[in-house]
Amino acid sequence: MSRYFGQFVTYVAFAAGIGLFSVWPAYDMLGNAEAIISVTFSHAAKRIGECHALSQEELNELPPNMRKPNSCPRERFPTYIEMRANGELIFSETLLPSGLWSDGKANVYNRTKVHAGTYQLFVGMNDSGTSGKFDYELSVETDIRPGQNLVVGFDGLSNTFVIE
Amino acid sequence: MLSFLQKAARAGLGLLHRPLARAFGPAENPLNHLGALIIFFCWIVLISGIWLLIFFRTSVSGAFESLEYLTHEQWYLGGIMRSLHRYASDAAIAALFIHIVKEFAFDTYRLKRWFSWVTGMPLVWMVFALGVTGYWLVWDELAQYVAITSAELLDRLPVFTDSMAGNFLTDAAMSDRFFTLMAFMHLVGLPIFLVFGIWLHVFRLSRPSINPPRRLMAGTLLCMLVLSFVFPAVSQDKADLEMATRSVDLDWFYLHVYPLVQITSPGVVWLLLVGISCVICLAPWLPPGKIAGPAIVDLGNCNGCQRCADDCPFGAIQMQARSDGRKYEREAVVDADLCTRCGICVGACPTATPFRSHGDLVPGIDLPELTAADLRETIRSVAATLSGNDRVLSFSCRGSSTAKKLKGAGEAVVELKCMGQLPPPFLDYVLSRDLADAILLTGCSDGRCRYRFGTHWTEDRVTRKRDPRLRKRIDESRICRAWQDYPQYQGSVLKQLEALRDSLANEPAGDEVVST
Repeated sequence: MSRYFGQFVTYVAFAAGIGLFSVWPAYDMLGNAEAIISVTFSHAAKRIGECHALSQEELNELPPNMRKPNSCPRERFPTYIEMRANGELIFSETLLPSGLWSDGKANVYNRTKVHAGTYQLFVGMNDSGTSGKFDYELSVETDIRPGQNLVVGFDGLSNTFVIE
Repeated sequence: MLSFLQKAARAGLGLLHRPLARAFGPAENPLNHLGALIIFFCWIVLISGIWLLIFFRTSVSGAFESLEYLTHEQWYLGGIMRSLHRYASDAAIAALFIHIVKEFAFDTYRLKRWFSWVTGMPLVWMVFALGVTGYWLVWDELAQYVAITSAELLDRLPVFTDSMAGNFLTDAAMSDRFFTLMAFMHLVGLPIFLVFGIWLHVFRLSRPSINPPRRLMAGTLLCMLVLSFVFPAVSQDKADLEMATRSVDLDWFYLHVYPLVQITSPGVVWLLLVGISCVICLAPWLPPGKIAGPAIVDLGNCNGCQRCADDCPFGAIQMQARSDGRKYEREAVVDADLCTRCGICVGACPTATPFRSHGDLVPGIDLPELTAADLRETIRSVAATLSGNDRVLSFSCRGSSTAKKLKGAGEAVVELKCMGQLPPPFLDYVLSRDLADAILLTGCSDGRCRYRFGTHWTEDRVTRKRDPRLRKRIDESRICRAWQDYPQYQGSVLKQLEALRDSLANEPAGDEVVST
């Protein structure tokens, strides 16, 4: 009898453990008054140089099958992005272009936790290697609700930031 | 450091083992059937999963709704199946964790067993991947959290050109095809690899335990069913990508790593996971590994009877055509890479008899670490220390704690690599040559044997169920078998010894065997 009782206790304890830790404790990521600003997009930065015509001397140095009149560098500049909320820097990152030849897109992905409220949001991006200025920027006043996931993206066709 | 961890793990398992052994008995102790239990949980997951699949819709809007229908409107079947699916998956993880700890604690992952140990690691990854993709399919708030965090982890790998996590930040970025892909991975891709992985995991074991005892299966299934009725699994709120996930009821069995992604970073988590996996995979070759020579076949004494090959728990002995021209058809050949040096083959060899009067004692198969001749000498020298009319000679395996207890009490003990190493003629030898008045065989219980079948085969040989059998002329009342965890064992080998001595004092004692 005590043996069956032992089995009963074991099964109950096992079931309780499985049931309990399959949902408890809850994991809290955001406070009631907090929200998330996500920045996510892929962007191909400008190439590091323009195409230029090769001189006859330069062409002669190349193997016959590789003699093209123009030389175009494949590499792209690093992409610098920064985001400010009410003037305060909340995210900045310099992203290298992807690919073995550094000629691919740079991928931006960031999630920043902020307090809900009204913000003067500024996003700037530089992809031309020049310092001290942004090639693309957006400044907008936005109201962020508690629990909201505000997504900042970049439209490669119109070259403008978009907020969703 | 490793020894300390193993000792701590053994102590921890001991706390679990003792009450479970009392409640279930050694044959049905869940701790002795962990691998088989994991497979049984996988069966529950598979069958319940098939039912869920019938109603599941692989689309952004359909996934959540179809599960809500199953959970609430078809609660009596679909809801129970869903709960079973989740709880059996969680139970598999719990059993998996204890299984790994147990193999580590008892050092049963070295030598030939490295294969099962290392092939177990991809299985762990696959089981977790199955769990993660399963939670993803529900498409509730937890799924949203799992999707974003998984994507953040995957983005850290130099595989994807575009950010995968970006796909889970707006509703517009989500597509039904994505659910089709996840469903394919969860329902077809990963399970196929899992089945193949399980086959590979037990590939080198002879007589692998695939199914737990029926009563244990029935009890476990009933336990899962009751849990599913009392505490059914439900979805959280539907995923809303416009809103950030605030709080989730996390399944800690599968998702315990996920909060670490937020607390640290995806890179740190990868480093941790890959690092731990690598260390675990390399563990069989980490010190203190003691590698003695494998079993050796002596063709002059091998008659090709095949008993050693039948009894080897790891399939390390193959029977091949005779190579020495003798009249026997076959001969035993040991694969050194598969041999765990347990000596069970020596215990099975009919030529391992200490009564030989001519020549040296060289059986057909022998263990260099402790040869049959060495064993006979050890028995003689240990028995020589006994005196009086209640002389008890104990045999114990090195893997169990009983040898230590007996030695601590000043008892005469012959230690073996494994109890299966002891050929029954040696028992006959001890009693017929009056080296002792009685024999105590003690060690790990069946199912807990470090070499899988050592205790099992010994029990069968002594009870004359398996060759080589104990000779009929031996008075069984003089042989006490006290395997740990048996009900009669009552936690102390010394009690058994005392009982045996009492029976000697009150002879004739009949043929009671203390534990069977």
